[in-house]
Amino acid sequence: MSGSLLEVRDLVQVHRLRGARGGSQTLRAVDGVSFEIGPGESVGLVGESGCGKSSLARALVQLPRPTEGEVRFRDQDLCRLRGGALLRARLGMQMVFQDPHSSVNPRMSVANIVAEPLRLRGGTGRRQVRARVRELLDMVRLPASRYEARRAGELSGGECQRVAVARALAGSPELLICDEAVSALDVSVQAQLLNLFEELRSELGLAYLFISHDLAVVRHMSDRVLFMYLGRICEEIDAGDLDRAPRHPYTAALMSLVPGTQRDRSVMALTGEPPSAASIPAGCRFHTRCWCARDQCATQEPALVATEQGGRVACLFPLAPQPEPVGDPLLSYRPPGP
Amino acid sequence: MTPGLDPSAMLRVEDLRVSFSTPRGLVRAVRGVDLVLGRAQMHAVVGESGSGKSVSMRALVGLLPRGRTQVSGRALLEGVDLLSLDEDQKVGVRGRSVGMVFQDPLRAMNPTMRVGRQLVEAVSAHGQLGKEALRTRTRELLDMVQVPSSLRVMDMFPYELSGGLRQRVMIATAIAGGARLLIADEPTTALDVSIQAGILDLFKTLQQDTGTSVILITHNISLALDYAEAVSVMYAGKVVETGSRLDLVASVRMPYSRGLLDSVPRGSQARHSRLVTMEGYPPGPTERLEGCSFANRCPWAEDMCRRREPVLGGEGDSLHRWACWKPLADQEVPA
Repeated sequence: MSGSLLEVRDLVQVHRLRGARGGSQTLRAVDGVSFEIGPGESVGLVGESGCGKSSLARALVQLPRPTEGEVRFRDQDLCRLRGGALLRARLGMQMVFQDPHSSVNPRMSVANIVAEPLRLRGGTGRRQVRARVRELLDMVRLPASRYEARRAGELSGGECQRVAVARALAGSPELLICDEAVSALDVSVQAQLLNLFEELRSELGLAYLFISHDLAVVRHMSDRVLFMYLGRICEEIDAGDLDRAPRHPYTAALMSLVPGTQRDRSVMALTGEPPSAASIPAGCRFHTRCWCARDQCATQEPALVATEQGGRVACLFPLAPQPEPVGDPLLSYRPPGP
Repeated sequence: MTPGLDPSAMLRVEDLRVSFSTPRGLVRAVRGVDLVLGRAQMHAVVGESGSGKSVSMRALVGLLPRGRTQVSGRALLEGVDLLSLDEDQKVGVRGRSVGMVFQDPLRAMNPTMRVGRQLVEAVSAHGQLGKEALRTRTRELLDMVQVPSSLRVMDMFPYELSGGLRQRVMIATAIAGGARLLIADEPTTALDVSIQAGILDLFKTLQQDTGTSVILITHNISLALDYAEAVSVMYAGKVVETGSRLDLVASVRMPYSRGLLDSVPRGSQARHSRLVTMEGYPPGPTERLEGCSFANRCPWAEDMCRRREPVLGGEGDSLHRWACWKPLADQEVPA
C-alpha cells in the first residue's frame, strides 16, 4: 500500500548470544514481522517480556540494523540507507524510551538537550535554534522561562519525560515510537503524559507505535493493536474489537487480565511462562501455553491470515467473535466527567 | 460497634508516624496512619511514589534504618503492640508472625545459595526439625505456593529461576515460619501481567486456605480494586480514604482517590479521549504542610481546606472513612 507512512516487511532480527564456553547460540528476537502504519495512525504493540517488542522497535530505527527484511519509511528503505541519508530519513521517526532519567544526560540543561538534534542537523542559526527550543518546550507544556536553564537531573520523572518528548519532536517527526514511555511514571503523571500524546496527535498529526505491557493504556491510545509472541505477530486487531472479538487465544488470555474485565480467567489461563526465544517450540509457537490447543497445533505452524474484522490472526483454530463481555459493574461505574 | 474496636481485627494501626533526620532536615514520611486489617483479608495500601506506603508498613516490622528513624503510634497485631517491642522480640515477630514479600526477589535472596538450602534455612530458623521433617516441610511449602516438584527448583540457584518462580519461592520463605500476616510490597510490579495474575491468585488462595491476611502495597489502584477486599489510599504520608472495594468504587469521597481512579484508562471510556488529570505534584518530603495536603491540587478546595487539616472520619459505624472537608457526594463533578 503506497498510502502508508511505515511499511515493515519480513523483518528479522537475530541476536548472537555468546555461551559461557566460547560457543555461540543465535536467538531470533524478531522472526519475520510485517505490518504498516498509516499517517496519523496510532498502533499499539503488546507482548510479554522477551517477546521481541523492543528488539522490533530498535530494528525499525536501525539500532542495530535488522538482519533481514525491509523498513520502508516514507517510501525509502531505511535498511539500505547509510550515513547522512539514514540520519536525515530517521529524523522523521523518533523514539521515546521508558526511563526518562537514563535517556537524557542529567548534567545537560533542558535547552541543550532539546537543541542537540537541531544542531546535529545543521543549517540553523543560533537564534533560530533558541526560538525553536522554546516552541518545542511549549509543545510539551513546559514553560520555557522556568525550564530552559534547569538541568535534567533536577527534574521529576514526568518533567524529564516531557523533555525527552520535546527532543524527539525537534526533527519534526511524523512517527513517534514510544517504548514503554509511561511505564515508569506514577499513575497521575502517566495520565498527564497520555493526554500530552493525544494532544500532539491532533495538533501535529503524529502517528504512533505505542509499545506497552499495560493493556488498558494500549487500548486507550491505539487504533489498531499488534500482539507479539516469541518474535512473531500472532494477532493484529482493531482496538475497538479487543474486548469483544479477540480471535487469537493469546489475545483473549491477555485481555482477560486487564483489571475490571470479568472474563473467566481460569478458562483462559496462560500456563507457565513463555519459552525462551532461543528454543522456539515446533508447530504453533504458542501451543505450549495455549488454553485451547489441539494435537495439530504441535506440528503445524499457522500463517498470519486476514480476518473478517479486517485484522490478521495466526491460529489454526481461531476463536469465534464473542458476545459483549460482562463488564464488572463496579469498575465500569464512572460518574459523568466534566 | 465502633470501627476502630472491631475485635476480629488481625492488625490495628493507630496514628503511626515515622520521620527521618536527614541533612536536609526532618523528613516526616508518615504523618499519621490508621488501618484496620481483618482476618483472612487482603487490604491494599495504594499511593504514588513518596506517599509513605512502604515506609509505614516497614515500620511495623522494624525494617527501617535505626538511629535516624523516629517511629511513634501503636500497631496491635493480635493484641501485641509491635512498636513497643525491643529488637530481640522484633526478630521473633518477623517471619513467625509477619512475613515480608518484596518487589525484587533476586535482591532478597542469596545469589550463591541453592534455593532448597535457603528454604531449609528459613524453615529451621523457626523451629528444630529432623532432616526428614525438614525436607517434607520444604516440599509442603513449595506445594503451597504451587511450584511443581517436576521443576526441581530446590537444586537451582535464584538466577536460574524466572521472575514468577522466584516470587513464589519468596512467598514460600515468607510463610515458612507460619506467619499469619503477609506484607507484600509491590510484589508483582516487576512481573508481566500474565505472571502477575498467578501471584495475586496465590495470595488469594493462601488467604482462603490458611486464613492468612495480606497487606498489598501497590501504586496500581485498579489492581487493588480487583483483588483486595479493603483499600486504603495514602497521600503525603497519611491515609486519606479507607474502605471496602465497593466504597471506593461506588462512593469515593476524597478527591485524590477519585483522581487516582480517573487517571487509569477504562474500557468503558472512548478511545483517545482525555483523561481527567490532577494538576501539579505532591508536596516535597521536607515541606511544611498547613491544612489539607492535597488542597493545592484539589479542584474543590476552599479556604477551610488550606487552613485546617482534616482528620479521618466517616458516617456511623461504617469502615468507610475519609479525611476531607469537602467530601464528594455520589456522582459529583467539578464545576
